[in-house]
Amino acid sequence: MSDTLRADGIKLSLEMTLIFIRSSSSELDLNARFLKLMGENRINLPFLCNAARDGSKSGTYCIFSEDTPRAKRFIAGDETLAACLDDLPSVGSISVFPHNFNLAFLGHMLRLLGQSGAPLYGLATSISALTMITDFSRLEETAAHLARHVSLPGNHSPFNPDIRIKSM
Amino acid sequence: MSEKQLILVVDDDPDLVESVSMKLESEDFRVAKAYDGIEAMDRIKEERPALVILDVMMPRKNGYELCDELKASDQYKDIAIVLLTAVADAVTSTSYTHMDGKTTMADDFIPKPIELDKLMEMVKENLE
Repeated sequence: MSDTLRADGIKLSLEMTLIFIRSSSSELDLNARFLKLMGENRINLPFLCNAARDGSKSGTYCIFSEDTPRAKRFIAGDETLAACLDDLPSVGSISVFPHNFNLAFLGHMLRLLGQSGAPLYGLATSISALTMITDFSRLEETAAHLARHVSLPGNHSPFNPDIRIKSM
Repeated sequence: MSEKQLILVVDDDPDLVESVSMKLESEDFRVAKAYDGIEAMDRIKEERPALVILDVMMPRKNGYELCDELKASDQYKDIAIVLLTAVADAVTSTSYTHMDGKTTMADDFIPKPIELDKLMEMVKENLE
């Protein structure tokens, strides 16, 4: 297989905090409680991935670092939720698009991420983008490694965001 | 058999570009994609589209700037442009006045979030 796959672009996120929530079936749905809390307080979730298995549910979420102190204050008000939640500061996402529902593309990206030595904390796909969560401090070098092995259009859009839309 | 018309979809949100592109392809259009105004101009120079679906807020060159550039160009002024805007309440016609007093003339506009069926109707109307 060729070492180069075609992509239209790569986008990097701002610095974020990763939040893991695990809840068993005997408990209230803590993931739903977390989502309600964030929604009521207008805290954006740029990354969200839920899983359910054998009656237990887990959720992986990202919130922007600048929202983290506020989010933690709200979470602290729900002792049950706070007890089932772990967080990891200073992560970021790399989104490569489009993936065109191509499993070879997914495998290629994971292999490149592995080669770069960057950890993988979360992975999700949307309609267009394959998004990987890693350390924020390694975002630029990891994106540069991916870009060396992916064929991007000439004059492609910049990797870093310079426009951010926030729900008020 | 008539050749499929080319539509250029321009937005910095890859998911929006992909969902609009899939809908256009299902309606028998060909699609080119770009993620900001600079890339869009490159695509237009490569192959002239029949219509551009153009987001407003984008990095490097925004939709208003590209729209102005195309409408001021003898070569490209006939390309139909549908603006996508998240501030549709502020847009009462295809002539949109900016805060700095400049005016952009597009052929049509549609508010975000987009209703895909409505967008398809708009595309077809502007191609007639």
